[in-house]
Parts: sequence; C-alpha cells; structure tokens
Amino acid sequence: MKKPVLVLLALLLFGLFGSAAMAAEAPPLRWGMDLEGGAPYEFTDPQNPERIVGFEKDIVDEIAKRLERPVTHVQTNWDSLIPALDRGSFDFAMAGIELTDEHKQGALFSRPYCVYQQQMVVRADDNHILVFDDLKGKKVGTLSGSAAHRMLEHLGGVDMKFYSDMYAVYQDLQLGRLDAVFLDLPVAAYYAHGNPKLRFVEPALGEGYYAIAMRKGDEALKRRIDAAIDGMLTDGSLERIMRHWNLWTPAQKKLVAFRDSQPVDTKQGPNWQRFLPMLLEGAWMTIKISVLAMALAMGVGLLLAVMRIYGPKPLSWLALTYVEVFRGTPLLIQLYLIYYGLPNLGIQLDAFVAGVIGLGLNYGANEAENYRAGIQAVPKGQSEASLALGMSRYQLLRYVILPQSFRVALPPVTNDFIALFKDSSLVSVITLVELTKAYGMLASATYDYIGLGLVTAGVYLAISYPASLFARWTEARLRRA
Amino acid sequence: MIIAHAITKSFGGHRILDGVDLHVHAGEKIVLLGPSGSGKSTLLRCLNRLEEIDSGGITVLGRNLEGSKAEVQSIRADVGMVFQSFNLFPHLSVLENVCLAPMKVRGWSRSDTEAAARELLGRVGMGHKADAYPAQLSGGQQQRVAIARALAMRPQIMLFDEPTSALDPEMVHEVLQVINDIARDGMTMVIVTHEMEFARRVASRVLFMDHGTIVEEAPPEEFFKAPKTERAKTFLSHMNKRRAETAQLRGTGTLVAID
Repeated sequence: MKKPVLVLLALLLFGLFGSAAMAAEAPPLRWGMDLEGGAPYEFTDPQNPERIVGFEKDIVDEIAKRLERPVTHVQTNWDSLIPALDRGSFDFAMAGIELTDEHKQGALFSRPYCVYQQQMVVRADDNHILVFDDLKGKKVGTLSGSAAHRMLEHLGGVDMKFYSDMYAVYQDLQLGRLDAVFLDLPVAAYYAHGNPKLRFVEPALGEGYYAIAMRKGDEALKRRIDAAIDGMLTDGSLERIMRHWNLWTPAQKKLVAFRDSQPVDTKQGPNWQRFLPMLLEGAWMTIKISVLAMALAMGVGLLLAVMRIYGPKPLSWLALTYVEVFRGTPLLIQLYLIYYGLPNLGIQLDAFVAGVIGLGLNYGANEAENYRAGIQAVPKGQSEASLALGMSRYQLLRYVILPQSFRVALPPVTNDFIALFKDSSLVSVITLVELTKAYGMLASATYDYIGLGLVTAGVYLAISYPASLFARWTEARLRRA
Repeated sequence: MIIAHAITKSFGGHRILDGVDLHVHAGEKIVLLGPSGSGKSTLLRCLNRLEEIDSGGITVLGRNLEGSKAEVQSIRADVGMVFQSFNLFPHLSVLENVCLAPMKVRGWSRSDTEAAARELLGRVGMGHKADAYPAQLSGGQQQRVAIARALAMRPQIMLFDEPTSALDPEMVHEVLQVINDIARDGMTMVIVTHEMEFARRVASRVLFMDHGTIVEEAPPEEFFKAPKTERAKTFLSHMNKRRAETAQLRGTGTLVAID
C-alpha cells in the first residue's frame, strides 16, 4: 500500500480498540456499512483481506473507545442501509450517508463528522468539460442515490450511468465509456488522485455533511455519539484521522459550528408523475434487453445443439464444453467478465451490447439443451423417410427435423424467456438502469419500498404473464398433435 | 434394375444377411416372404442404403450404391420407399408432404409439383384431403399419402416394407388396392409383406427367406401350390393356420379380396 503510515495508524487504533473491547462488558454496537466500493470510507485492506480499514472505520473505532463499547460490523448494500437500520439489522449506519431532508425522514442523524464536496473528474486530455454545466449531454458516472446523483438530476440532460464499484467507474472513464465522473471528493481522492490519465475539475462543488444514521427514537445513542464526535472535534483527533486519509480540507472547520436544523417532516407518498416515467423507461430497457438476448440465445442454442448432435467429435465436444461452462457458472460473473474484464484484452463493449451478449450467451446454453431434447424427440422414421426420398443431411435437418423439434422445444423455450426476463435485472451491475434498478433507485430515494415494489412487480407480471399463457398454449397444442 | 451380390450384414454379432444374391429386372414385382427375423426387411433396407452392408456389392439403376454421397442421394431419389409406420411429416399438410422432396431434391417448380401431387393424391383416393394434416387421417389414409409421396419423385423402383402391418384390418384392403394399381402400371417393385393372398396376386416372383439367406425362389403359383423346401412348407402351413384363425375370429372367409 502506498501509505504505510496509515497502516501503522490503523494497527495502533486496532490495538486501542481491542483493549477497550476487553474492558467493556456492554453488548457490541452493530455498525451497518458497505465494503463494496467502500474505499476510502471503509474497505477490505488489500494487504490483509481479514481486516477492514478506512477513515470511517478509524472514526468508529475512536467513537467506540469513547463509548466503551465494542463494535461489530454488518455488511449491507449501500442502497438498503436505511431500511435495514429501520428493520433493526444494526444499531447505526455510517457509510458516507449525507445529511439531507430526505434522509432525515428515514432515520435519526448524529451531528456530522465530515464535510463532503462533489468532485468532477475527466480524462486528462479532455478540454471540453470545464464547469458543471458542461456535463449536459455527456455520459457521467455516479452512484445512485448520492448527493452527486441528485445534483446531476437537477442539472438535467445528463446521460447518467450508475456504478456501485468505485474502481470500475474511474476505469470506464479512462476507457472512454464515460466522459466524466461526478462523485464525492473522498472517493475521487482515493481512486483518481495522482492518476496521470485523469484530471480533477476545480473547484469541488455541492458542499454537504456526512452523519451517522440511527433508528428514529434512539435519542440516548444519539446523545452519546454526538458527545463523542464533539470530543473528537475539540481534541483534534478527528482532524488527525482525516489528515491521515488526505481528506482534511479547510471546509471541515464548519463541523465545529454546525447546528442542526429540525427535520422537516414532509413525509409523503412518491410523486407518481415523476416516478412512473422512470419505471416505464426501466421496463422498456428490460424488454429490449430480454428480447434481443433471447434472440441471440436461440441462435446460439440452435448452433450448439446441431454441433453437439451432428458435428464431428471436436465440434461436438466443444459444444458440450460451452454448455457445461455457461450453465455451471453464475451469470453475474459472466457479465462482470464481459463488461469489466474484456477491456483488458482490448475488447471494449458498450454496456447495452455487453448485457445482451452476456444474457444471450448464458441462455444459449439452456436453449441448446432444449433444442437437443427437441431434435432427439423426432422419431428415427422421419430421417429414414427423408433420406429415402433422396434428401441431403442438410435438407433433412432444415425441412424435417428442425421444424418438428422447434414445436417440441417451444414450451421450454418460452419458459426460459420468462426466466431470462427476470434475470435481466442482473445487468444493473454493468451500469444499465432496467426495471429493478429503477425501482431500487426510486425506493431508496423515497423509502416507499412497498408501494413502488408492488407497482414494479405489477409491471413485470404484466409482461411475463402473457408469455406464460403463450407457453401453456403451446404445450396444449403439442399434446393435441 | 437391382443387382445385389453376396451381401452380408450383422447386428451385434448376429448375422442377419448371410450372402444374399438378388437380381431385379425392369417391371418385375418381387415379393419377399419369410418368418420374422429372416432378414427380409433388412435386405430391403439395404437396397437404398438405409442399412450399410458389411460385404458384397449392390448396383441400382446402373449406379454403385457404395459410391459418393451425391450418387447415393441420386439413387435414393429414383427409388421410392413405403414404410410400415408411414413416416409422414407431421408438421406438413398432405399436399406439402407430397411436394417437399420433388421441390427440394429435384428442384421442380411449385406449380408443376403441386399439380402433379394433386393428380397423384386423386389416384390414391386422397384428393379431398390435400390440406389435412397427417394426425387427422386414419392409418390407411396416411399410408396412401405416403405412397403418393414416394411416387411424386417419379421413381423407377418402389420398395414396400410391410406396408399394411401397422394397419387395422379394415384398412388393409384400401392400401393393397393402391399398391396393386401401381403394379399394374408396370412399376418395378420389391415388396416385403405377410399378406399371402396379395403376394400371390401381385408377385411376378416370390423369394422365400430364412436365417439370412434366400431359401427358395419361384413364380407365385408354383411357390404357393408346391413349395420345394421343408422350411417354406412349414412357413406356409403356419401362415394358413393363422389366416384361418383370423378369419374365424372375424366370421368371414376371406382375409383380403383384391379387385
């Protein structure tokens, strides 16, 4: 690691924390956080995967010491931190959660421990993006639900791409998949600072506060944590931690004078005029991806099935290997490899293309097995009759075997389409906003998980139910024939 | 038309054909008789290479059946075959069943092929079912369509592999009638059947097979009246007994009536 001093510091704090834990009999405080893309807030130490490091980790350790309580951590998806806190999965959440009126409706917040700003980063050779307004019409990577996301949304006309992996977002910027990245300054400082291929667009924008979220009504914990943060501000230990992580900015001085405004309790249902179009856009993306991926899967599957049954040994073996590999590994990993892995080999695909290819190649393996079963269900007499009429093997396949095997394969293929349709939600990991991702973004912004969830499920059902009816109809027709 | 010389064929160590010689001349109607497992069907299927022979040689219409893929396909195009289980294409209508091979293999135009197909369907009494699908037809009707399908290629030889064995008894007659009509038009035919009455009427020569060899060869009147070998005598008396039993069951004297 490039900062050995920090490792030492972390070790030191660990030692302190350890002794505090031994002294305390109190039950541990449970800390909800997200390690994925969590640097420099809290993340797995690259040198020692069993250890967690980060500036928030250091702050939590310091707070724990002052509260004389040990802390255990609970890994949770960033989007779900507030609802998980509400459910009682942990006692407090701390993972760069911004102090906003929206968030205040979902949780009780401590006094802030950090002033954040939003940092625009572009490629070093880019001289077009100079101010925030220049992002209009550009492809900009950000984190969904973050303050940066809201600023971009407010600007309007930005082609936003959503990442949960903060390493990937700057990689995609270098690859040219993005024109800019707009994210919290700590993230930019950790991942992009000192990278000669990238340039920070000064000044940083959109000041705001990070604070610790607790369950509403947990005033006792809030008082103790507030007191701990107060103490850290007074004795300079907070500044020391921030400086070690290269995050101390003059703006941090505002933390001392901070006075919380009362949360405005304007809890209301989601604004449907705003949200429905987003859901429908997501649904349209889901449909496009599913239909194109299924078309690809059917083509790949047919090729594989024919290779497997009629091909010479090496081809047949190749087809079998393909089927086993693609059916035996998770689709999620295949998508990661295709989108984030292939650029290392010089193959750079657009996210949409990568999504279609990933789903299509994966389902191709399933379709191959459906067709194979279909082909093998055609009686031997059909081949004999065709050959006896003087047909070539190609003609036999084209006019006699395949049309019949399609009929047999149609019900399972239709069922696979429904499965693919639902699996298409996985393409959100490669920055595509489809139906499920749109739901997640909207729900985490409004905390209306039930209402939006039912609407989203309804949209899925509205598409998959007719497909399901079609599958049943084809099955019935097959039974009659 | 067909010259088969000393052909042998084994399945899993069991010898099905054991040195068979066969000459079929133009216009001949050869009927292969013999008990089950005697090798009749296998011999027939070797004649268009649906079965590979182990040794020996077969020449069909002057062309070598052991030749290139294209040569084998050209022979098969000129040799029609009718199967015990009809083997119509279930996804195609009756008319499409008949037209598929002439259009794809022969490359004949759709209009000519369809006109010829409708005429053939009329000849086998299936003109009114041109647009039906095989699943909607009785066994006898399907087999008549299968015959039309084979004839649509304008073959020079027709092979029949037990064409009535899978049919309900009341449908046997309509199919045999059609085959009989084709025979009278001068087609060269090789027929495997268990219908003795039909064999006697249609055959120009009867070959009696047992244990993979041709045991006896004679014109039908001679074979049925005075078989020379013990095995043929046993076979015929067995068949007669079975015929009598079946006739008794149905309370009628004749199993099949031709014409």
